[in-house]
Amino acid sequence: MAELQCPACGQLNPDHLETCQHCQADLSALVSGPGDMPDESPMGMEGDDLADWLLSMREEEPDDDAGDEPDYPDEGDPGSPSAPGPSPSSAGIPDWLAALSDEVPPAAPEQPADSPEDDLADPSPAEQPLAEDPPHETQAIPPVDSPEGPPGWLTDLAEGEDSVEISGSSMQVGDLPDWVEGLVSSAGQLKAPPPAAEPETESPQAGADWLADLRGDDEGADSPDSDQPGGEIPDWLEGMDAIHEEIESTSMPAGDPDEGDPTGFAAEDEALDPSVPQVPDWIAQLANQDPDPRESLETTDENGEEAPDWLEKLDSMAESPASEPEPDARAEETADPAGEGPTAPEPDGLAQPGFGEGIPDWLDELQSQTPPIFGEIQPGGDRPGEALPDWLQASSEEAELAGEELSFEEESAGPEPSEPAGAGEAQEDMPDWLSGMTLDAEAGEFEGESDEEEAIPDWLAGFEQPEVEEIAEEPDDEPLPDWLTTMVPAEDQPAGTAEQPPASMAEPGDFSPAAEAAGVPQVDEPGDAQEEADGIPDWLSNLQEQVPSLEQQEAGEVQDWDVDLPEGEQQAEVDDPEWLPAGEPDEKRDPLPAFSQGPDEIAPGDVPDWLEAMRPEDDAPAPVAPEVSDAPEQYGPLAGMRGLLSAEPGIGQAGKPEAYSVKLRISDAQQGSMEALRSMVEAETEPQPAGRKSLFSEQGILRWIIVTLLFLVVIFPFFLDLPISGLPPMARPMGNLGRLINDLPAGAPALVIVDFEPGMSGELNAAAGAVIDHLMLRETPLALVSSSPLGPALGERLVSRELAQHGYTYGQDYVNLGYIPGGATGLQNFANFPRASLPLGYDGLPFWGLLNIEAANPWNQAPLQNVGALSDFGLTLLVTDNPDTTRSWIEQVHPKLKPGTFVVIASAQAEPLILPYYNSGEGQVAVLVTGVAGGASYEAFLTREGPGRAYWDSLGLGALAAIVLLFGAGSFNLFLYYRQLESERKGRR
Amino acid sequence: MVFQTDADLLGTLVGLVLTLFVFSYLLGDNAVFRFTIHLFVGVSAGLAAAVALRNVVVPHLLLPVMDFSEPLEWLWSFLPFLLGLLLLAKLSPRLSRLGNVSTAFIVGVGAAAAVGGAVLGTLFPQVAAATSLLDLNAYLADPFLSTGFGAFFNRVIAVLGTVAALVYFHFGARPRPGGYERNRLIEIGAQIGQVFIAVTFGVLFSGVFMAALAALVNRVHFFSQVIETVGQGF
Repeated sequence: MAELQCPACGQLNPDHLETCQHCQADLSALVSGPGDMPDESPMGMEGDDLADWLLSMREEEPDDDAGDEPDYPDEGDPGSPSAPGPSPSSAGIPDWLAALSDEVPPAAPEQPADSPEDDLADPSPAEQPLAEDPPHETQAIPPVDSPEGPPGWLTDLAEGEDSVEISGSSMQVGDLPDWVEGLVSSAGQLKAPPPAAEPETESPQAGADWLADLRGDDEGADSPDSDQPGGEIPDWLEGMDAIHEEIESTSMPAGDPDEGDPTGFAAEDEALDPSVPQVPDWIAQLANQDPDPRESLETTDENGEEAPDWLEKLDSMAESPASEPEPDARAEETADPAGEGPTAPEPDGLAQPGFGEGIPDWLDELQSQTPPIFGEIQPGGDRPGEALPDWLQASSEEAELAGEELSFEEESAGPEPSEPAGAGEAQEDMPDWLSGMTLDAEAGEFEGESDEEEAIPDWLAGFEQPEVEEIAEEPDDEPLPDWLTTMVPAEDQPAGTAEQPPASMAEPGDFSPAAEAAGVPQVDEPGDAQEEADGIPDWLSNLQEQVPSLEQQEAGEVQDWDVDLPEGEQQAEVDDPEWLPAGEPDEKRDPLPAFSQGPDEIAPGDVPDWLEAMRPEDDAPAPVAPEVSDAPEQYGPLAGMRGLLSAEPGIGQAGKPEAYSVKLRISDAQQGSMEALRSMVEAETEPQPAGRKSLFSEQGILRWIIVTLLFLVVIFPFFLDLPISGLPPMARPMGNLGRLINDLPAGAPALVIVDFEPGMSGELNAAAGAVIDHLMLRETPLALVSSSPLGPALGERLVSRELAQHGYTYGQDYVNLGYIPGGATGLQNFANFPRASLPLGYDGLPFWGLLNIEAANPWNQAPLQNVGALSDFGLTLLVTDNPDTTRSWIEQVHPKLKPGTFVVIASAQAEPLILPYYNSGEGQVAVLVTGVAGGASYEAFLTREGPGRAYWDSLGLGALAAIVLLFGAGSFNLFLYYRQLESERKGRR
Repeated sequence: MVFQTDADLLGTLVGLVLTLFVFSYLLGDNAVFRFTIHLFVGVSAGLAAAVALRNVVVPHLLLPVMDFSEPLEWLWSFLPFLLGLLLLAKLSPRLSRLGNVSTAFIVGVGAAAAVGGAVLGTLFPQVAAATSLLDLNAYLADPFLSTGFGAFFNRVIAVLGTVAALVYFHFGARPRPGGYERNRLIEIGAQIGQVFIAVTFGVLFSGVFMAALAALVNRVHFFSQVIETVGQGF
């Protein structure tokens, strides 16, 4: 399968595709081309057929541009340096241009290749055949394959050029399509730049102006509205009028443009018919309806934009052909550009060096070599002594005959931003595609190009490319300004062109293959204008001349977009490059340097930081990679996690405390003491194995001796049954207690508080038995109560068993109130609410018997029927072995008792702590009976035998034995002590 | 000893055996001794629980709650029931906080009662008794110590012992070149108080010894009665 190489991006595409699959560029011309040019590649020329400079451009273009912005191949953005299409590279060369180059055989260069640019800027292959090769044979112009077939007709253009060249002046109008003729004629016309010295040419819309002027020329150069100085229409434009008249005289349809072919390309079909004039209808309409170009210029002036000088020249030439300078004289003037000084390229793309004096040479040559109708146009006459190629002359003639230069100019200048307001009518007569471009030109921007891409032929879009890419470099010797140097990548700069003037200064007319191969259009430098022009065909240079108009538009657009400053300030800032010679009028400067704002400008492809920050996120990668660490987090709650944003250095570790030694500085003695203490503490906590104690150990023997002694002493009185000692004398307290009991009112109950433990029952039973016995003797009703859970049982045993001889019956002689819970609180409650606090007694009834609460209520029993409060008790007898319990009773209950009726029968162990209450003199304890001695004493008071008396002898002997043991053990220990001292004395001796 | 019933005889024999088991401690810690101790503890706890249930829970908690005759009384009696239930929450660590209310109530009321009783029943009377020893009017009324010299001596000893014991527990001291040193008067009073404290401990020990000796005598007497009773053939 054959492949087509995209002219825009240089990529290969299948031949059946009409658009590039990579850049969506239109390949229809390439597709249809083979049919027309079977021996040629789709591009019209391939491989060896191409000139070197074109080959180099084709080879370099895909690398430079295809990868940059492949997404916008057809956008045709002139401001985009990487826009595809007919870029300066070989791939970007319009196929029609390629065809031209192909069919033009190489010829001897007219210009010696002595300049360094000659290596890069190979002599224009299109120009060489003009000099050497005979004119090619005339080829029949193939019909346009498709309505949109600019490539086709562009291919035909090359053929047409040959044809024109061959036919020369004998070529008839109908032999070429009207658009081809217009192209050729416009090529010659575009070659004529406006005077560089004219400040009006700075307007980026100047190109449109002169184009409008050209259109208006058809209507008549002598428009009364024209106020242009020298607004005369050039002769060749006047010839166009003649053409139009001729066309009108023929069967050229001049009807409504809407009905005719809007593109004008349909006339190509008619071109096959020699009888049909080759001027399209819209051109004819232009001839009839276009306003006066001077009127357009005037309108432009009204819009604040001035027409370029060269247009004024054209007008002046049209008005006074006799006043136009001689071509030779102009050639001499342009031959020495140095004489004019380093004239800066005209901001207007149509500006040409040496043209400031008037009509360029080539235009003069055209005028001289063409028929009178085209006599004023001499393409290629921008250099002195250089003759216009024959073929180009011929093509110019034919084009002028066909009046197609207007269409070409309109096509090429379609994107011109400034369409005169008065040209609206003429604009309606334009083809749609051209009208669209004109509208864009009015807008001054190319924003709407995307919508009009279909209307813009590829070849025309290709014209727009160089003006965009001219920013890159310039193969001149003139050193580049700093800002431009930074913009041009080193790899994109050809050898020997390290320093180049700003690309914005490049003119399309100074098209250099080397610069084109680098993807950058050259900048015309006055000193090198001729050398560069020698390497480029004139017609190609002329084509490129159209670029500055777009270039200026872009420049103006960028200015408006980039720097929102007043126009004057923009000019002041923009048009002040360093490389521009001093004294150069600002008007001559190219506004394109407005891209750059200073000497150290932005390098191409190197976006400044501030602009990079403004780039949308989808274009700029998020710069988070360097900040994210794969190392796990060491601190904080996210410790251990990976892929976290690392903390600011030093922050995460700021809280780490310094390591301080906790080792104490102690001496060896202190260390030894510490170890000794530690060993002692640990020894205390360690469980010691229970060693089997021997019964005959020293301590065991002593224990057995004491036990045996005590047992013998205690048992002996019981078995001897003899009184060993007399009873203790009855102390005064016992007499008081006796009197108290004897003074109890009849029936007055006595409250017996049994608050001791069962283990102390032997002692307390002996002590309390005597007193309770006295009460029973007195038949005093008893109410037993206890603050200990075991007290009620002990009290019940005391009354019912120890004193069972009295025959007290529960409920009649005594009641057991039971247990008082709550400690001191319960005692206080009992003191305050005795009935409520003890609703149930310890009566020995079964548990279900408690359900009859009235029957079980001890307060309802006979002993307590008359008792409503504790003060109703005639005597309160506390039997206790605990001094704390005694204190609680004294503190909580004593105030509620009848004064002087509180008797304490205490164990011997509690006596020392209860005695202060008895000896206080406050009457808290009326009588204190202590232990077995107190019971035995009270028994003596009562002259009754009781446990006290029985225990008294054993207790006495036991106490005596204890005293003996204490003295004996003490004496023994003292003996051991003196024995030890004696041994020590002996040891000392 | 008279055994009115067989239960009394059985009880006496059990008591005799258990007493011997306790005396086996003379031979060292043994199982019989531990068994006897555990038996006493168990019986005491069981008896205390029964007494508490009989004398506290039933009359103070169950019966009032089950009595709906008086709604107001019922509500009044339900409060201790609720506090008692909350107090049971102390058994669970998770719910122990619920019992804090009951505990707080108990502690609060108990502290109030104890403090009030201590101040009124112990502190003021004891202070008054101590100060009465130095009543000059009593000496002026009986300048020749008709009540006996011993009484006077007792008052002096009591005052001296009380003051000296309090001074002993005064630990204030001033820094001196060789360390800290208490005031000399306080030091002398502390030494005197130390003597009185030592005598008090001796008295307490003698009371404990006498109480224990009385228990021993009781047990020996029990033995003698049992043997006598057995010897007499019941």
